[in-house]
Amino acid sequence: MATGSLESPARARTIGDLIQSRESVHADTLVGLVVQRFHEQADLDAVAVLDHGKIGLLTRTRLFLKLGQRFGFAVFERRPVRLVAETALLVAASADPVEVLHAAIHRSPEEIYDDLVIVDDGGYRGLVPMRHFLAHHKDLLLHSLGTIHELDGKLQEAEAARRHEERASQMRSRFFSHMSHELRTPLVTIRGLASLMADRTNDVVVQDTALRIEREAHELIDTINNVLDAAKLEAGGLRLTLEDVDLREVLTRCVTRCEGLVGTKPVQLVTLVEPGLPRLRSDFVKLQQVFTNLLANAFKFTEAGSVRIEARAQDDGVVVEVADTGVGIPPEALARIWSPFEQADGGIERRFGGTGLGLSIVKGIVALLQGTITVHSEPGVGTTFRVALRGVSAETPASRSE
Amino acid sequence: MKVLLVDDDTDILEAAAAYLKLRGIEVLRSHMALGVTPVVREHRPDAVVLDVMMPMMSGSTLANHLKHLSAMQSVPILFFSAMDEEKLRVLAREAGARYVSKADGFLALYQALVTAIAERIIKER
Repeated sequence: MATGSLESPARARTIGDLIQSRESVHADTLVGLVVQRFHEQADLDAVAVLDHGKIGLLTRTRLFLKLGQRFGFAVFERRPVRLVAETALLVAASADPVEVLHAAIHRSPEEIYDDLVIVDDGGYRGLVPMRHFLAHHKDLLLHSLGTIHELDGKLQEAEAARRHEERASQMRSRFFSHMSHELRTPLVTIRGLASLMADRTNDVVVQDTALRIEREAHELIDTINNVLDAAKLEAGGLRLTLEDVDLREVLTRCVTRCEGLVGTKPVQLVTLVEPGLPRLRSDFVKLQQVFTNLLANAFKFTEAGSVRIEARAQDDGVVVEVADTGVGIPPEALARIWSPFEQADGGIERRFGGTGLGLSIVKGIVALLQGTITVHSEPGVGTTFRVALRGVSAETPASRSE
Repeated sequence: MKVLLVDDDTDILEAAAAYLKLRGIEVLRSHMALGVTPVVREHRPDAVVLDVMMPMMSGSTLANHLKHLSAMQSVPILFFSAMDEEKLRVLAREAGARYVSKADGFLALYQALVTAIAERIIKER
């Protein structure tokens, strides 16, 4: 095959010439922020992690594998990125490509695709994508058959590992959606039959019993949904379906869904949506999960008074507040509420029920939607959750400036 | 108000039908998607409620057939399913249908039906 047909300058003189990205973050940066950066830059494959002269590498694959571990998101989100970065293959800009090739292919299969970190006199210069590097030096590889055989083997191993992981992840997600369907269906029947019974009878005791069955079935359905969502969130299986979302429609659905939870408690539900609220480029169903969970939480911990949900435009997005006049959260417990299985008071489950998964799911989804959530609470007075969402849709009627 | 319910799960089908009847809706039932078309032609329901995951023919396939019937012009189609809500929403949008998650119960289905039929009446005026 004629190699002369290609312009020979295409082959870089030094590895340093192949640098395609100079992205870096400081090692103290929180993992959550780096995740956001990967979300924002779809073509970003890796960033260098700079740590007082030491240099590490964090690839997209590695980051999301870490987060996909059990409780990965909850564990790492607020921790520095140095914990998930790896010591990468460091290469001097002037290094001999053949030596670098050898070093690269002797790495473990899952690392073989990782990019090269290029340094110059100890300083960080940039990243070279491995594929790019191989493409430029394939003729060098051809000169040393031993190398290419090894490389072949390594690449096949890596490919097999990747396919295995992909298949496992597909199986997991199919299992989740099958499970949720199978678990929900009979409960839906129970719930439906109970509400039918409550409607049909004139006997007060039967009616009360039927309504209780209905409410319990409803709660069990919610619990199942939450457990499955938490599992999906951990497995990195929650994907966004973006569309132009009318937040009013989302909140209406959430409110309808939660009305049944009030029961006989003297709690008033107040919904306030600012007129002309901009549409958001976001995920309808995920937003619905966030606010349904927050509302359900508010109802659960409020014995009397009100639950208020309010949405208004702010900066380049929308702020939604869910405020209740419930028991409140003691200051020392505030930091823990986002962890799975936590409730402010360890003994509180018996009184309030629930899995304690709701808020960790809310937090995970809000992060996935690139929003922020904060909480303000006073024991005995009430709790306010504040969700700030960015990303106003281009289709928003230009009503805000009018 | 006449509604056609299609669901392969006969427990849900019967329960939902009884629930809607109690609220004054006339209900036609079918436990499979096959054979629904002639029923629609003959009885001209005001709305059609379809389960999605059904053997032989899914609710979304049926919805795509029904849309092209002259008897179904402007008749609202509602998906009523226990599947993941994300998927349900996408399927409904593709089929130009509304959706209610079964997890939300029969009252939610009833409310959605009333809204859909009311909106249609207003539009046709």
